[in-house]
Amino acid sequence: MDELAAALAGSNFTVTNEPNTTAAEHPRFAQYKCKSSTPSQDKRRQRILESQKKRRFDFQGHVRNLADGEWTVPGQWEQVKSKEDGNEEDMDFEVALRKPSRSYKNQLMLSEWLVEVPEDFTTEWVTVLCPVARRCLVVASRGKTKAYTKSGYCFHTFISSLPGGNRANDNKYTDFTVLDCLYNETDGIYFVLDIMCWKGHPVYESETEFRFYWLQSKIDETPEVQSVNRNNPYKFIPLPNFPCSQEDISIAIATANFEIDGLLFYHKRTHYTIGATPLVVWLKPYMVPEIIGIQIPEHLMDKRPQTYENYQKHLKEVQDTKQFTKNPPSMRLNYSEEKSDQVGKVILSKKQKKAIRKSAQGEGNSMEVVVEQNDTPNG
Amino acid sequence: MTLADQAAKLLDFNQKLDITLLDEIVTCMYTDVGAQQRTAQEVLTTLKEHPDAWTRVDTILEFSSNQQTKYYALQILETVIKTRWKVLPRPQCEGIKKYIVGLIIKTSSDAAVLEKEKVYLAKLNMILVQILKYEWPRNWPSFIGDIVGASKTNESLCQNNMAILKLLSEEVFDFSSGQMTQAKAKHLKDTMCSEFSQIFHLCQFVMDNSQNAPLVGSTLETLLRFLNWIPLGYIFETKLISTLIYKFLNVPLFRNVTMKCLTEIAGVQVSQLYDEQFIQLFTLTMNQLKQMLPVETNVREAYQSGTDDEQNFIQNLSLFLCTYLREHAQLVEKKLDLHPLLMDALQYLCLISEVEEVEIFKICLEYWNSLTSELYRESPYSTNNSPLILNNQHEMPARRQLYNPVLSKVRRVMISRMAKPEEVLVVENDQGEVVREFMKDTDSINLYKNMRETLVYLTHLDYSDTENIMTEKLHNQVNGTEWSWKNLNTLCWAIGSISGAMHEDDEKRFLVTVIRDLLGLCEQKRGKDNKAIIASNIMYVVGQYPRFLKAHWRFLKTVVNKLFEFMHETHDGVQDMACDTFIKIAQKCRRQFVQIQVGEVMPFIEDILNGINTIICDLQPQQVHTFYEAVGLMISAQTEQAAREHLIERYMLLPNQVWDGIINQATQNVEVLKDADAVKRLGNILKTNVRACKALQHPYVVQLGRIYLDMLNVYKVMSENISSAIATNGESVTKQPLIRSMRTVKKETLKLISGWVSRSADHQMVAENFIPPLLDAVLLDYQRNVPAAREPEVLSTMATIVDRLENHITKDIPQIFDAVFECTLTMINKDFEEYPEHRTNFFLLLKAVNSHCFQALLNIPAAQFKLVLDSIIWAFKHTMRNVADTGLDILYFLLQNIAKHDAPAQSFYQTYFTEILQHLFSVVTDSSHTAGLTTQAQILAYMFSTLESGKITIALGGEGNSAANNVQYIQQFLLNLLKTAFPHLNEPQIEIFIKGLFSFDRDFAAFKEHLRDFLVQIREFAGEDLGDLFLEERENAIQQAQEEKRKLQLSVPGIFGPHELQEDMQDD
Repeated sequence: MDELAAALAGSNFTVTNEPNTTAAEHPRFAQYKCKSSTPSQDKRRQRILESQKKRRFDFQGHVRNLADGEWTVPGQWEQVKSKEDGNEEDMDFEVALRKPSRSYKNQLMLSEWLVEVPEDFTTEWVTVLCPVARRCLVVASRGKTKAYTKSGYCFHTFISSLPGGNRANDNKYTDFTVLDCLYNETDGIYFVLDIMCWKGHPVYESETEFRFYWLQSKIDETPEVQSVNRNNPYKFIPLPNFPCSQEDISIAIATANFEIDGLLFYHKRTHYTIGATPLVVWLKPYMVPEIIGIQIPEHLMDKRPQTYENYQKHLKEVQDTKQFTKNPPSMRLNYSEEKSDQVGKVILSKKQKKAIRKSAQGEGNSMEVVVEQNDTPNG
Repeated sequence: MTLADQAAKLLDFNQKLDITLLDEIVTCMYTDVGAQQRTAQEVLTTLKEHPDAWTRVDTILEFSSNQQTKYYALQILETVIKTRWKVLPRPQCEGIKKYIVGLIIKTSSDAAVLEKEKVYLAKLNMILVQILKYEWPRNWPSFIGDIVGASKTNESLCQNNMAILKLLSEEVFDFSSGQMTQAKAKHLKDTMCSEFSQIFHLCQFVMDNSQNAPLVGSTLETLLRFLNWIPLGYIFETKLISTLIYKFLNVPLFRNVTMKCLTEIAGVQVSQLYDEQFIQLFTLTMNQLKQMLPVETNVREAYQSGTDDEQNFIQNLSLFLCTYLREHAQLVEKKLDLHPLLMDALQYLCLISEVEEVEIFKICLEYWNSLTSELYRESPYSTNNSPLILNNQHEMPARRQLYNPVLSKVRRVMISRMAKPEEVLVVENDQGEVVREFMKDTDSINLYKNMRETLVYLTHLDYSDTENIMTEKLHNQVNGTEWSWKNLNTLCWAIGSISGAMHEDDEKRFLVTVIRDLLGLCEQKRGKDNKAIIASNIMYVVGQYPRFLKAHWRFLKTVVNKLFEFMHETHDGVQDMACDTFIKIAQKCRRQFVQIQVGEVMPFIEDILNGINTIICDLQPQQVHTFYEAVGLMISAQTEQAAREHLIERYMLLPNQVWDGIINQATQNVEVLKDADAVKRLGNILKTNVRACKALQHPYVVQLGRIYLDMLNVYKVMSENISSAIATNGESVTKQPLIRSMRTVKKETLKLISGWVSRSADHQMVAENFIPPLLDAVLLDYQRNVPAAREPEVLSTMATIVDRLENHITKDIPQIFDAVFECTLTMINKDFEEYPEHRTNFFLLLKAVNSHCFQALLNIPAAQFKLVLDSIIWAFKHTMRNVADTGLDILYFLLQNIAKHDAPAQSFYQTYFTEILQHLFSVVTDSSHTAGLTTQAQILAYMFSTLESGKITIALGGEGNSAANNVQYIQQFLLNLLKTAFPHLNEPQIEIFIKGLFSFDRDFAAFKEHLRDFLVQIREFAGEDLGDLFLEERENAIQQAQEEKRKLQLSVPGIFGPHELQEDMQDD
C-alpha cells in the first residue's frame, strides 16, 4: 500500500511536469520520497541563464496583446507554435524558455521549492517576503484594471491610478501596465511583486535587480496608487526586497507588518520568464530554519503541518539508527535511486546547513562561513 | 381581385364552387410565403370550418386536378365524420359512405394507380375507417364479409383491403382509449374477434397462393397488427408458424415483417398449453436463421456496412431472441438436445450486443440484465469462492453452468462499452457566468445505470473473470494495442462501476493493480492532454471506491494532497476534476478527516483549514464553492459540538473577514453597497455560505447567527437600490450587471435562509429567534417594492418555512398573508402567463399554509377567505401544468381539511360547493386540461361521496328549493349546467353520465374512465340516434356498480342507519 501511495504522491503523476512544484509538498518534507530523473536545480539554473542570453522574443507585441485582450500581433507565434508541438517533451525541463500562452492563462513567473541552497545564495539572490494573499496578473489598459488568476480567470475588474487603468486620469488612452501581484482580499490591497510593463514599456528581458528598482521608482513617481481614493479603490504596495543574508532576512521577518505566507528568493540575473523556474524559489517560514538555518519566531513555526513534524521525527530516527549501522545516509533517506550527483547535492546542502547552524550558534557572521566553505571570492 | 375577395366568393355556398380558384389558393398556401400564404391559410381554414363545407367535397375530388386540394377536401370530410356524423341525415351518410367506397375501389383496383396514388388512398382508407367506427356493425353488418369477398376479385384491391383491415385493427385495439367510449370499443372488439375467421382465411389464402409480392407484404403487415389480439387458436392450432418461417423468413423482401410477426408470437404468455409449439417456433426459426446468417458472422461489421433493410433485420432479430428467451427460455433449457441451439441463440445476442447502434444495444442489455439478475438471485454466490469456502454445497447451479460460457462474453461486452456515468452541462448562470451543472436522468446516465447493474450481477456470478477481463484490457492500454482516450474512459467507468461487488480483500488487491497500472500509464504517456485524461481516470476510479479509501488512511491522504496539487494545475478541466473528486470523497469518507489517524497528532481537517488559503488560491469562484461544500461535509462529521463549532469558525474565517470588511465600510458609508465589485463579492460570500449550510445542516446555525442581522440589512439596502433604480430607469435596468448582482445577493440570502430552515432541527428556536427579524426585513420590503423588484424566492422561502415549521409558524400566517397575498395576486390575476415564478411559488405557499397551518386559514376574515378560494380556482384554471396541479392539490387538501371542522364546513359548502363543481367541470371538459384529469377526477369523486354520505347537512339549494335532498339538487344542477354547456348532447346521455358520477364515486379507476367516456361524447354531435352510444349497456354497468357499492357498504355493520335498511332486510 505504501508503495502505491508513494507512486501516487510522486512527481511522475502530474499533468504539467514542473520539478519541485510548489503546488505539491516540499520534496524534502514530503511524506513519500520520490525518484526523479530531473537534473538538479543548480544545473537547470545554469542552463536557463545561458539560454536566456540567446533568447529573442517580441515582448513588445506580447504586452500589446495582453493589454488588448486580443492575440492579434503576429510576432513569432506561428513559428513558436510548431516548435512547441514538435518536441514538447524536450521543453519539459527547459520551462524557462517557454513562450507565453495566447491568453491570460499562465502568464506569471512561478517559483520552485528551494531544494538545494545555491552556492551563490548570498551574493546573487534577493529575497522578498510574501503576505498571505492571492497571486495574480494585473493588467491595466483601456481605462480598466483587471486581475487574473494563474489559470486566466478574471476575478476582479476595477479602476486604478496605474497608467492605463482609469479613464479619468491624464494618461493617454494607449497607456498600459502589467504587474505581478498578490491580492489580499480582506484588506483590499494589491502587493506588487514584480513588474512586466509600465506605460507600455516591457521589462520582461531585464534582470531582477533592474525590475525591482524600476518597480519601486515607478510606484514612487505615482503616489496616488499607494493610497485609497476615488480613482484608486485598492492600494498598490510594492513589496520590498532584501539581500540574502541571515541578518537581513531575520530583520525582515521580525519587522514584517503582515502575516507572512512565505519567502521568495529571486536570482538577480533572471529575466521575467513565464512559468515555474528554478531561478525563483520559495520557502514556507517554518522551513527556513531547516533549509537555510535561520531561526524564526515561534508563532510562524506553529503553522507547520503535521507531516513536517513527522519528517523531523523521521530524520531523528534515521540519525539514531545511523550511529549503530553506519549505513550510508543516502539509503536511509530514500535517495538511493537518485543519480549520484544529486545525492552529492543533497549532502552538500546538508553540510552547508550544518555550517550555517554552527555559525549561528557562535558569534561569527554565518554568511562568511558559507562563503568560505564554497570558496567563492567575496563580492 | 384580392385574395380576400376570392375568399368571399369561395365561402358563398349559393354560387357554384370555382375549382380553379380553390386550386390556386391551395397552391398559394403551399408555395407562397409571408402575408400571401397567411391569407390563403385563413381562407382555407374558414372554408373548412363552415358547417356545409362537406357538401363540396365530392365536386372537389372529382374535378380538382391538384393532389393537395383533394387532400384538403378529405380533411373536411374527416372532420365532419368525426364530429357531426350523427346529425347528418341518414341518406347523406349512406351517400358519403357509398361515394368513399366507390372511390377506394376505383383507385385501388389498378396496381399502377394504387402505387401512384398511395398517399391519397391512405387518406381515403382512413376516412372509411372513421365511417366504420359509426356504421359497423349496426348499420353495416356485412362489412367484413363484403371486404373479404371483394378481396378475392382483384389482387391490388385485395392489397388495399389488407391496409384497411390493418387500420381498423389499430383504431379498435391500439388507439381506442380516449377516442371511443369504453362500451363502444368493447363492442367493436367483440365483433371483430367473432368475425375474424373470415379475415384469417383470406390472409392464409394469400400467403399460400399469391405470387404478388406487394400483396403478400401488405398481408403480413396486416397479420402483424392482428397477432396481439386474435384468439390464440389461430396462431398455434394452424400452420401459421411454419408457413411464416419456411415460406417468408428467408425471403429478403419479407424477412423483417416476418421476424416482427414471430416476435409478436414469441411474446405471447400462456400456460403450458402450447409448449410444443413454442419449442417448434424456436427450433424452426433458429435452424432457418443459421442458414441465413452464419453464427460466426461478424455482426458488428455487417451492420456497419449493411443496408437499412439489413440493419432493421438485425434489430428485429435481437427483439425476437430477447423476447423469446425472456418468456420461454425455461422450455428450451429443459431439453438437453436443444442446448446447442440455445447456445447459438445466445451467441447471436452476444454478437448483436457488439453493434455500435445504441438502440439495439439497449434491447440486448435489457435481456442480459434480466438473465444475470435471475441467475444471481437463484443462488447468490460467486462461482469461484476462495478454496477455503468451496465445498460441495456450493457447486455451480445447473442453469449457471449452462450459461457460464456466454456470461464471460457478456462481461467483455459490458466492460468494452460501459456508458458515461455522469454528464456535465456548461450553462450561463444568473450572473452571466459560465458554470457547470451536473445533469440527472439523461439517456446516457440511464444506460449507465442499467449496464452497471448488469455488470454488478455478472461480477457477483464470477468476480475473477470480471477482474481478469478488466486487467487484460488495462494491459492493452499500457501496451498500446487498445490505447485511446475513449477506450480508457470506458474501461475506467467499468472499473468504477463494480465498486462494492467484490469481497473487500479481492477488491483491494484488484484496485492496487489497477491504480499501479494507471500510474505507470501516466508516467509512460507524453503530452499534457494524455496525462490529464489518465489523471482524471485515476481520480475517477479512486473516488468510486470509498470503502478502500476508508480502510487505507495514508493512501486517502495522499489522494487528497494530490487533488490539492491538481487544484493549481492550469491545464483545461483539471481543476474542475480535482474539485469534483474532492467533494465526492468528502461525501463518503468525511469521518476520516476529523478523526486522529494512527501515527498522526491531529485530524487532517486541521491541516486543510491551515492551508485553505493556499489550496484555493488558483480556483474560480464556482470551484471554491464546491471546495467549501466538501470541507463543510467533513466538519459535519465532527459530532462533538464544541470542537465542531471551533472548526466552523476557522472554516468560515476567510469569507467572514471579507464580509466584515465590506460591512464595516458600509456602516461608514452605505454607498459602498452600490459598488459593483463589493456587491459581486457579497454574492460570492453568500454562495459560499449556501454551500456551507448545505453541508453542515443545522449546526451551520453558529455561522448564520454571526452574519444574520447584517445579511438582512444588506438585503434591505439591495432591495431599495433595485427599487429606486427601476423607479428612475424603468424595468429594463434589471438586465444591467450591477442590478443583476444585487438581485443575486437578495436571492442568495433567501436561498441561504430557506436552505437552512429546511435543514434545521429545532423548530421553536427557529421560529422564535430567526423568523421575526426575517419577516420584518423581507416581507415589508416585498410589499412596498415595485412588482418587478419583488423576488419570487420570497414566496418560496415562506413556503419552505411553513412546510418546515408547521404549526410553530401559524401565528405568523396573518402577517405573511397581509404582506404577500394581495400584492402578489394583483401581479398574477390579469392573465395566465406573466410572472410565472411568482405564480408557481405563490400557490406553493398557499399549499403549504393549507397543509400545515389550516387553523390560520379558518381564522381569516370571510372576504380574505374568498380571495384564497378564488385564487385556488384561478390556479387550477392555468394551463401551466405545475400551477394547475398545485391548485388541484390545494383544493383536494382543503376539502379534506374543512370536512374535519363541522361548523365552518357547512357554511363553506353552502357558499362554495356548487361554485367549485361548476369550475371543476369547466376544466374537466376543457381539452387543454386533460393532463390534470386524474386529480380532477379524484376531487370530483371525493365531492360526490361527501355529498352522498350526507355530510352536507345544510340545504345546498337554500330554503325554498324544491329538491328533496342535496343529491337531487346537485343532480338537477349538473343537468342544467351540462345541458347549457353542451347543447349537442341529448338529455338521456347526460342523465346517465350524472348517475354514473355517483355510482362510481368509490371506485376511482371506474370513475375516471366514466369521465373519459363523457369527454369522448362531448366531441361528437349526438343526434337522435342513441344506438351506438350503448346507453343501455352503460346504464346496466352503472346499476351493477351501484349494487356492488351497496353490497360493500352492507358488509360493514352499521354503515346504513336502521331506517335505510329495513325493507331490504325484509326482502332477504
